[in-house]
Amino acid sequence: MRISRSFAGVAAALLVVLAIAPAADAPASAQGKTITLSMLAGYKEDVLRANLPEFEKKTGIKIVVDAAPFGDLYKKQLLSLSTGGRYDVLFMDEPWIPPLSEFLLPLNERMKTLDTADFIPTTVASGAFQGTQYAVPVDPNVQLLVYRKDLFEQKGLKPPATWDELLADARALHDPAKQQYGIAVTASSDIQTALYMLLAMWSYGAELVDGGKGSLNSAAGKKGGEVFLELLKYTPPNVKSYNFADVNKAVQLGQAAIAIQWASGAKPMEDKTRSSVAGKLGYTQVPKAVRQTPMRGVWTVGIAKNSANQDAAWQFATWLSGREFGQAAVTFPSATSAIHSPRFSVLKDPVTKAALPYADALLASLQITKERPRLREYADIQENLRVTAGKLTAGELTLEAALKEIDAGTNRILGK
Amino acid sequence: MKPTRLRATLTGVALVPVLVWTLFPIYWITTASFKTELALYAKPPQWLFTPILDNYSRVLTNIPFFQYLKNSLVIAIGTTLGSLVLGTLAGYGFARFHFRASEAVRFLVLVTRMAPRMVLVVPYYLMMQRLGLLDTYTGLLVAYVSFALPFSIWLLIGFFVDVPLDVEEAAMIDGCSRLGVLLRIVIPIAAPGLVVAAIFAFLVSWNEFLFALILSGVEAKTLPVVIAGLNTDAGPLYGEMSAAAVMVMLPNIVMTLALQRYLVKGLTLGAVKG
Repeated sequence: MRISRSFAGVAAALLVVLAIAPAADAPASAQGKTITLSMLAGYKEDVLRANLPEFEKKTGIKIVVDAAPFGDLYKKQLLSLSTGGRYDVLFMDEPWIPPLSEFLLPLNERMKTLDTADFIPTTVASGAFQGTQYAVPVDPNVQLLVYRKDLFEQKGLKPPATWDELLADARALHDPAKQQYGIAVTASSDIQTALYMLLAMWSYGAELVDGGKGSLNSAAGKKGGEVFLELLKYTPPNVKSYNFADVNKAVQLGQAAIAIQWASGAKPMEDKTRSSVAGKLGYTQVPKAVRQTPMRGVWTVGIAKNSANQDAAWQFATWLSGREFGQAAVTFPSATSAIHSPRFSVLKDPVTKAALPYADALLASLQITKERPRLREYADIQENLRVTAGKLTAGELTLEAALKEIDAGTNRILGK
Repeated sequence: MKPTRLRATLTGVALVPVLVWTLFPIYWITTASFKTELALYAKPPQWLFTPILDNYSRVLTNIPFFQYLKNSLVIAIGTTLGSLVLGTLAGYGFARFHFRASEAVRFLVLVTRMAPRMVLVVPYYLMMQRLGLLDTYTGLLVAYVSFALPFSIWLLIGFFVDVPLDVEEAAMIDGCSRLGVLLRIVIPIAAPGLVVAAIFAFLVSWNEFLFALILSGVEAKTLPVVIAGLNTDAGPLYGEMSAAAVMVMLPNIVMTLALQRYLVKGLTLGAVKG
């Protein structure tokens, strides 16, 4: 009787332990909660959905994913947040954080609980605005230089470290008769054209906004613009209609010897069903002039200020930015693209390096990456840059006129 | 060659470029859905290729496609039924009953179609939020019925006006109620018009993107939003987008072919209505 009573007690305790074990990782206030996530649709959503069951099982927190297309995600988040909406956690591109910051929960205190030493510092900065942390990094992106190792070896060339070397290499490898082009970049009215041009101008020391004013119209801006326009002599013939995907396509079809592309475009270049040059590509940092300024674009997660489930939301945000999810994401079997972790430990891991041939270049670039101006008005400034860069490459404006127009537009937006 | 035969031949020849212009994008999307990415981007284009089903398989496995298909079907059928029932009642009312402001009210119905949809999206969002109808079938149904209704009403007024009044009066003398007349006499005569109104209402809902994006989320998301999601930050996934687009087009094509006879008749009749 005594034995059976003890046994019953042990069994009951065991049952209680088993019942709470799956949720042991979550604080009591987070367990059993349902979190609504505003997410980017597409391959990032696929990676997330594949890994969510593990998080839900471990924490007892249920995640409802509302995924929207890239072109509409910001508008949907803004509408929802500004009307007291339905999201607890938001997956945001870093330029969105300044305008959305008033609706986001400050995370400075909570950040102290994270092992921040494992995060690449620039990625953490992507979630901050005016000294307050509003989001944690999940998927860092940065511009890389991609080149055909086989063609460089044939010509005895080294990967270019400077813009002058890049121009020389693009010239040497440009052979339109063989449908082989020196470099793939965009020269359309697509946003990427503006960002390529800005990259070159930054490298020569120019700034889009300095001292609260538009300041591209400078000797450095002019030099960067000239180099960018010179590069266009060695591109495929139809770059005036190119966008992000077309740059990838030019590489994947083996038409471009070099490309400057965001790291998020690199994975399909290494997939044999999508790329005829898989395994033949090398990756390095973008060229430098007076400085090296690969552009940063980090996907982050923040928590809505009015969320009723802030503890559970934080639990989820930390899992998304954590090592476990990062490792699962970089090795996710997707030919389309990857979620790249913001953590040193993940990007240095041999498993990651085997999965992502560009992991070293990604890590090196992220450590020195440059952010776009952290302003609430940045979206309008970038739009002005896009329109004017398009006019420049279409030949509607001279470089001098374009630089003046960009600055005038920036100043108008900033009320200067 | 007889003049009529010559005319038919010339008409046929003239129709060829129109058909190519109309059908080529559909041909392109359909073939793209069976190509690898490399074949899709090949220059010159690959007209002959080994078809693959990978794009379909990725769409069907990576996305809960059938859940979204169900959402689209429920909402489109609901919109069709809602706009048909309300459109029939309102159209018949406008056709048969005249009151002091009937012309003005008829015009006001059309005014709702004059504002760009984009202008309406935020007010709709706020209304649905207040009513707790965000991300529900009901929320989207209310929006879509309101979009389809003006067209249905105006289309059906023309058909109902054309039904001879004598027939209706004869039925009423025989003891038929007004509703009985509508159901037993008017609707059967105006059936081609109802088919046209139904197809348009279905298409309004089936292909609508903006309101589906803003008013839905997880539970009521429809296929156009899902397809747009395949245009990622790393560029469009053309293969998967094409596969999804083909699957979205199929119900429309099947429905339109099945109702083709009524559709042509309805459009032709509608063309001469006053």
